[in-house]
Amino acid sequence: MPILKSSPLRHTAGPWVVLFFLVAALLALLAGCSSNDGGTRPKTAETLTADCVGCHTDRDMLEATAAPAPPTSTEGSGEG
Amino acid sequence: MEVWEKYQVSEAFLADDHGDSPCTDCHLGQSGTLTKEEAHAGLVLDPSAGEAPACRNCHMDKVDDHLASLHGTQNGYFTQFAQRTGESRPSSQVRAMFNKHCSGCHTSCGQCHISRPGSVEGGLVSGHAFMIRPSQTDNCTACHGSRVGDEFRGHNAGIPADTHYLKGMTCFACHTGAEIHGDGTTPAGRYDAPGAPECTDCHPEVLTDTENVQHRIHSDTVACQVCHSVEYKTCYSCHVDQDSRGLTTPSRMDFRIGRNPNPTADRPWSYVLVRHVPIAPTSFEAWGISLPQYASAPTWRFATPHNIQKNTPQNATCVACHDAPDLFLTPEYVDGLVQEGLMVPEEIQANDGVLVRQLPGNAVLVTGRGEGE
Repeated sequence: MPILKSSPLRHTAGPWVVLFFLVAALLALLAGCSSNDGGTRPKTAETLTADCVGCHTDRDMLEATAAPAPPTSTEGSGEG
Repeated sequence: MEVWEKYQVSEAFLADDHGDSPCTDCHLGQSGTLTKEEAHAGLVLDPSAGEAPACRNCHMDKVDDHLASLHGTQNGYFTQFAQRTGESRPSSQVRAMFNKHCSGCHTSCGQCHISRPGSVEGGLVSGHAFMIRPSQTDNCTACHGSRVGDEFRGHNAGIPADTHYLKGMTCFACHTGAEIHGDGTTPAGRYDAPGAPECTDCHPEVLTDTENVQHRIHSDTVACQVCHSVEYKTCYSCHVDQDSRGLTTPSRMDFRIGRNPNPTADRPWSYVLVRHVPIAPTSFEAWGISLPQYASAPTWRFATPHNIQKNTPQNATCVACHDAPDLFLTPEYVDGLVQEGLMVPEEIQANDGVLVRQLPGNAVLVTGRGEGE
């Protein structure tokens, strides 16, 4: 029965559905890599400024956020 | 070092094997947050402190050796506490005092191989890069600076740098990783550490030298430093009587030859250099600690100044040493220090075995107590 061959659905929506799922899967994969990776290095400087390495390699951010070191309780200048 | 510099991570670290691990593996804290406070919640600044589990995963032997070593235990202090208190195990008071005043110098894997020591307020040395060999300036002499570092580099006015330093040698030429990490045992003190260097490790010919008459005569009886060191720093007031700044008297440059109070197979000499370590019978009274055996150990201690010279004033001629009572730790000299208030009277007995009452090889008798040893 040639109904499928002549179906308007097959000719118009099919490729777009497949493409939609492919793009969605790719986006999900990228999001998974960049959300919470435990602080490994960023893939680019722009993508991961909120993780450990992103901040600790950013001099401007470190200068802006560094607090004076708390005084230590140690004495003198060392054992010698 | 600016505050921000202390925490800046370098590309060199990120390219290193250690840089592949997520930061939170060692430091905990929270990744993926938007504020510094959230990110640092639960942060462990020095994951290598204590038992160093982060390091131990891969470097078990080295960590275990370190934990038993002098850098890991500071056992040299406990050896002295035991000797002067007469207690084989440190009391709770000793522990409390030690933790308050002494343990700041306790070091960890990271404080040699990653950052400056905590006792000098830390800071990444090379952007968190793991240094197999620590930085001489940022690690070794950051702690061992006031005497060893200044002597070695010639930073004491009028005193030349150590000849080894001038030839480009560093701490590690003599002090190897084997010595620093130890062998898993806990030495009584620094001179007992396995692998501790001896001058003759590099200069073995001195022991059998027949051409140099001075070596032939003295190598068995006089420590190398007696002839080849120059003035070095010695301290008086710390631990004894302090003002609001922690000091009453600055350190002094001095050079004193004493008798070896404890000759051993490694240190058989009759004469050694000595450096004053200021401690009084009352030093720890505020902590409820008494020192009933105070006099059982000298306060002028065996010393190895790091300012070695081939030619020194005292090795210029025979009489430059043998007719020079000002070079020796004589009873008269110690009496003067007591009168000056730089030593307490009880130290005279404590140093009985170190005092030189008769100049070696010389008929001139130094007058004073206990003559005719």
